[in-house]
Amino acid sequence: MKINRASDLSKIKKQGLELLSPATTRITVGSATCGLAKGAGKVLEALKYEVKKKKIQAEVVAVGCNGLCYAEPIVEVIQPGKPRITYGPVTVERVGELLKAIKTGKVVQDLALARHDEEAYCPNIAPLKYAKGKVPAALSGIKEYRKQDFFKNQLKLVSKNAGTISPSRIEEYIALDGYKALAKVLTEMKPEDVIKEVTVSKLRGRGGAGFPTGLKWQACRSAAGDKKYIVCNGSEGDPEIGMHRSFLESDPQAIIEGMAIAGYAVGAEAGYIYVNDRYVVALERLEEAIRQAEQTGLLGSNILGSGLSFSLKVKRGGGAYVCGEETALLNALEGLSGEPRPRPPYPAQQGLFGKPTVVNNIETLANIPLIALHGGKWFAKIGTASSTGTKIVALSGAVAQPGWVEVPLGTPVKAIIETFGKGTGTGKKVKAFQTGGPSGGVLPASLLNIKLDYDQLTKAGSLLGSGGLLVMDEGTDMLDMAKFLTDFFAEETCGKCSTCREGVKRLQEIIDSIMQGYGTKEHLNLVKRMAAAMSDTAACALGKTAAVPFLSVLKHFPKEVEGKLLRKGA
Amino acid sequence: MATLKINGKKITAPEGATILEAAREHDIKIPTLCSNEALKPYGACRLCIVEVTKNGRTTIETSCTYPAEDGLEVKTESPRVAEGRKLVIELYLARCPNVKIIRQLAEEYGIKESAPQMGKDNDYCILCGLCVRACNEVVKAGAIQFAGSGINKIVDSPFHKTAEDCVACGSCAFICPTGIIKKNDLPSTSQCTPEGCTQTGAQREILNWQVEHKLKVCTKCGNPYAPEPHLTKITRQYYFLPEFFNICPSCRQYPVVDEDKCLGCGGCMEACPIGALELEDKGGYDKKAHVFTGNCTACHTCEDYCPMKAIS
Amino acid sequence: MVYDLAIVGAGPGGLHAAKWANKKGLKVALIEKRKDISKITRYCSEHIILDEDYNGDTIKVDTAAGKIISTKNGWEVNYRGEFCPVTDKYYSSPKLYHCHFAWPDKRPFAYKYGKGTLLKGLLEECLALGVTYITETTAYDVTDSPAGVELKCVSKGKKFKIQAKKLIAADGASAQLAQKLGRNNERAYLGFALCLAVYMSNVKNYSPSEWRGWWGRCYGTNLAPLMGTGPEGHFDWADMIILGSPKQLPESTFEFFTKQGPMAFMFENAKIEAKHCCSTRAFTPLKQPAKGNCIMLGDAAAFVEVQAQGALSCGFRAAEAVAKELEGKPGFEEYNQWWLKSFEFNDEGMMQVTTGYALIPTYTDDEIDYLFSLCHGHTMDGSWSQYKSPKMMWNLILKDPEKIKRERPEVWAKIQTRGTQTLSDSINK
Repeated sequence: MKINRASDLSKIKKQGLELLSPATTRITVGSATCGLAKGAGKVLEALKYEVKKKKIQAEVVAVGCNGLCYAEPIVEVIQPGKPRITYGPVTVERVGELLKAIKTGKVVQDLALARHDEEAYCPNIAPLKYAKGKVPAALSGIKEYRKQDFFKNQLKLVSKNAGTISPSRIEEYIALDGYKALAKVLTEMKPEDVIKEVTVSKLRGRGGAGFPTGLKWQACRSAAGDKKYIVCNGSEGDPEIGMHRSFLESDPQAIIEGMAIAGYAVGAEAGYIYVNDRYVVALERLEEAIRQAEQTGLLGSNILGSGLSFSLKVKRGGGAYVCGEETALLNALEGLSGEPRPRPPYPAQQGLFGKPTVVNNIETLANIPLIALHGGKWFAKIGTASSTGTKIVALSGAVAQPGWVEVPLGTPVKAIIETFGKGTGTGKKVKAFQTGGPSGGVLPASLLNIKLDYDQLTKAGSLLGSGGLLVMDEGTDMLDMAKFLTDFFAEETCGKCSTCREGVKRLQEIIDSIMQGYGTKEHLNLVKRMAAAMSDTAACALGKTAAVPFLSVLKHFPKEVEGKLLRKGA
Repeated sequence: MATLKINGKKITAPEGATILEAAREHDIKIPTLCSNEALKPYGACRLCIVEVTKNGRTTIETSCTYPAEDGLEVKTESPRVAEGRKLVIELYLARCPNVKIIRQLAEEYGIKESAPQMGKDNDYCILCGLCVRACNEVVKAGAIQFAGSGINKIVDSPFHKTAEDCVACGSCAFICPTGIIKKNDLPSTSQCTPEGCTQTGAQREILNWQVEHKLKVCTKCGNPYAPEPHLTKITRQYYFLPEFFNICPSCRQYPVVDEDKCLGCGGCMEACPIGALELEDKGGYDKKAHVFTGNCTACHTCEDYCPMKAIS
Repeated sequence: MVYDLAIVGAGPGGLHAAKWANKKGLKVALIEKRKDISKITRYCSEHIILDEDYNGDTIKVDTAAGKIISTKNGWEVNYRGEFCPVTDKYYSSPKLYHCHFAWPDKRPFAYKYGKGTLLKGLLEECLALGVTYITETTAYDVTDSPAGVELKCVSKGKKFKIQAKKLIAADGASAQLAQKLGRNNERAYLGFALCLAVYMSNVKNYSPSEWRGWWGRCYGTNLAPLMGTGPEGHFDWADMIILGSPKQLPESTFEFFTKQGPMAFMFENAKIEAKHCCSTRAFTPLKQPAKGNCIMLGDAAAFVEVQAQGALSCGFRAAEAVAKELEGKPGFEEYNQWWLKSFEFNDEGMMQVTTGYALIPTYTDDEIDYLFSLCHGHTMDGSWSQYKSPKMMWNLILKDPEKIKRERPEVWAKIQTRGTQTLSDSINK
């Protein structure tokens, strides 16, 4: 079904809505890598087999991840007129029981996690109703999702579709107002208007640096060049996160729509999505989504009859940490070594193949359709004055319920750990936490009230980065942590500039000396000196922040470090 | 033209110049290891850092890559620059304590040793990339590259085997600042046995890339003077007649134009690959060719291209 | 200072490109190695060819109004000089059997004109339009990158650089800039030829409206000596054109032809008035003259020559192509397509046709006599074209193949090898 005009979208929307709440039963299985790793694939097969065998009128659909990673495999059941029930963890052995319950209108109590009476999928628009009339008694016992901590404290805007729609069905994306933003942009807005909205929204890059997206787009639009490019950074090099992978496996069309809008705004007709080669499922789903978008006419030439041509290619990368530096990413895309380029010139003026290029993170692009549809002003009201919008946070480490959540920026870290993670789960208290990946170093528990905000975190010596939140409890040896993170830098340095390559090597040696008991105060002073000089002289942020992990441990846990130093006369 | 301040002094820089180029034009000293005017700036050694203030914002940048823009204020020596440079030199000392130019650099900046808490290696390659860049950008042979990554980075031939694309031009050895690239020119040898004598022609070996190539011998003076594969490459790449390299540069002679024979057709100018010829207006209808021997490489191409045999 | 467009070479191609690029609002730098381009010292392209559809164009000459007009490419240039019509072409064998080309109504198929006058006029127009003209400067090297073009130039021994967004290399058949850009790697190199042109007065049997050539070893060379019209102001002088190589200098052939050869009688009382010469490399044509930021224009991309009219068309089209590219439109693609379909040497049959001229060394002088005798007495269409003429000749020769098989079987055997000799072989053997 080719979509030639914006008005055709409503036809597809209808089809999609019927798939989302069909006349028969819809059973979804959370099939992102996190779920698959826990056996969701087997559960999906078992459900399909049993449904066919028992001749049950139901469709079994693989969907993405809703963030409840600790309770996977997640299975959801949507029956006509009844609320949507979320079950987890559902193992293969429980499949029979689950299907029986569906048939008899009952519920598997010990697996039932939540109930959706309606789907609030889009701000400013009335929600989709699942339940018609009174909720049946058997289901009323399950807590409604908006009353549960996990859901009620989130603001699911970017991730509104994740876990609900099938990533392999473009109709389901369109059903929940997918491509409505692109249609609006192409029919009602000029490219300059789009950039204006993004600027007004104060959206900042979600990959690390937090650079204002509107400024970046404007710089690229103003740059001279016969060809321009949009590049999506899906490299996700930070070691402790995977939510962008999750996102690609759950809602890849959002990225495609975001990139098409970006292309229209800056005048680019081609885009590249650079994805970590190990993300097999994400790559499959992304390529399928692109194919469907092309077949539908939402990618390619003359999109929605507007004259806009935009096409996408997926490129596989090594997932190197240094590709968080956009010029290293561009070099890798061009087939060269993934090493940073001297700046200036910046990618907006001379990027991919020397042409003006916008490099944006996956999450940044996923925000674009929302901003285009609801306006920059609406977006800027969410979060804080300098850090607007929401952030997807991946909770890991010492937390009882790891997973990912989407919260407004400005949410205190403590709240995130307690409300969603439900504390450390180890019986020990929180000792330290890390935001922004290895470049963010560690922060002590005394700073837990710090807000998830670009500027506040930078001021505290850390950074927001890509949204990882690693929790360490009191059983963690902080020096061990510093070594682990410094070793990570040693693995990931590209080796081009002398500062980083040689500096990280020496930092490893210094930490080893201290851990083996040969450290002195001079070692600590040297690290402080190196940190300042590396921050000034390294060619990119990797080198500039390579000393931060140890420095932050030294700053916030001085006793642990000094306690290991060589004592006089020893 | 850009107007900027370096160390408080107002200077102008031509369009497209970097801060390093502008500084050098005005005899302002900035140390470098990985920069060379024949090569594109690389920014690997970090020695040339300067403090740049632009629109009120101050950052530390490599002067070899940063463009000299209007209104910049640059400091080539400031506490931050000094500290940064000091660490860079120390890190090089820790890596290459026995390399002459590193020791000289350290002495110049008053650094005796790398910090004792740092470990010490004994490397001789500073990974400045000059050899790789010369081979790829200037010679365009592409015989060597960086291999491995990060801490284990080295310069190597493909798969650590004989560099098949190496033409033994020796540019890598010439440009290497530490002397770790070993190029040896070996004279021809003859081995005599009762059965007879075998001759091995003059050779050049570049040990690092496991390369050995014959040297071309001048038909006039009999001296070996350049590696054959390099001469073949130049012949193909630039427009030389095959016999040209039979004579070495010392034996080559520069062209002389017989003005009686020259008709001013300009064929020699069109043949000259380096623009060393021009036509002089000698009044009236006549135009005669004139050679600027300062630019001429005595390649002899013009001689063959003159229809009147006016060039010898 | 970065120009929109740098043009190397103020020949007809470069000048015309400069004029039209400037008219389209581009900042143009025209770089020329000579000081005075109106004084022609190099022998090259001094005819306007009137063959219909010659290299994709039919040129009309308005002698009264002083204009040369392209009917298919849409330009016209002013020319205030003299024209001399050429109405007859004779190709002669050793025993003076002729292949004769002329229109029945004796209308001209070409005009000899004053190239210096044409160039001077075009240059004046360019200067009046405000084109930056950088003279006595040789552009000897160039690098092309996404950021633009950088030319290495030298003037009176001093070196400097010129930067531009786009480049038109109109530096002639030696294709020096194409060589530096590596473009000649896409072409086969056929060798280089030396050429001498001698203007003489008092040549017997010379007529300004005739173009003549002599084929046979007895004339002293494998490359037929040619004779055409004298220069503007002296159409009564004969123009003797001799090709050669370093191993057989054109001068020595000239000496032989005028003093010892069978046609020496023509030059008994002749006086040498002026000499011009040139040397040029011959390549197969570039299929894609426009690439990156550079267009190789006219002869620089051709199989030897496009003639002045071809160069004017190329210049006109290239200016448009560059203006379009600077607006983000596919001007270069359009230029390449026009180039491919317009010039005969881009046609597959081209190489085949040039072998039609490779009579020596294949045939003996006696055999050439035989072949030409089959044409003698007929008049073929008036044509300048190096592609049409051999075609007509061979059509005439092969009108009665049985006759040849019967009378001269060894000649017939040689005719079967037609197509294996190339122009390169003629030059280099």
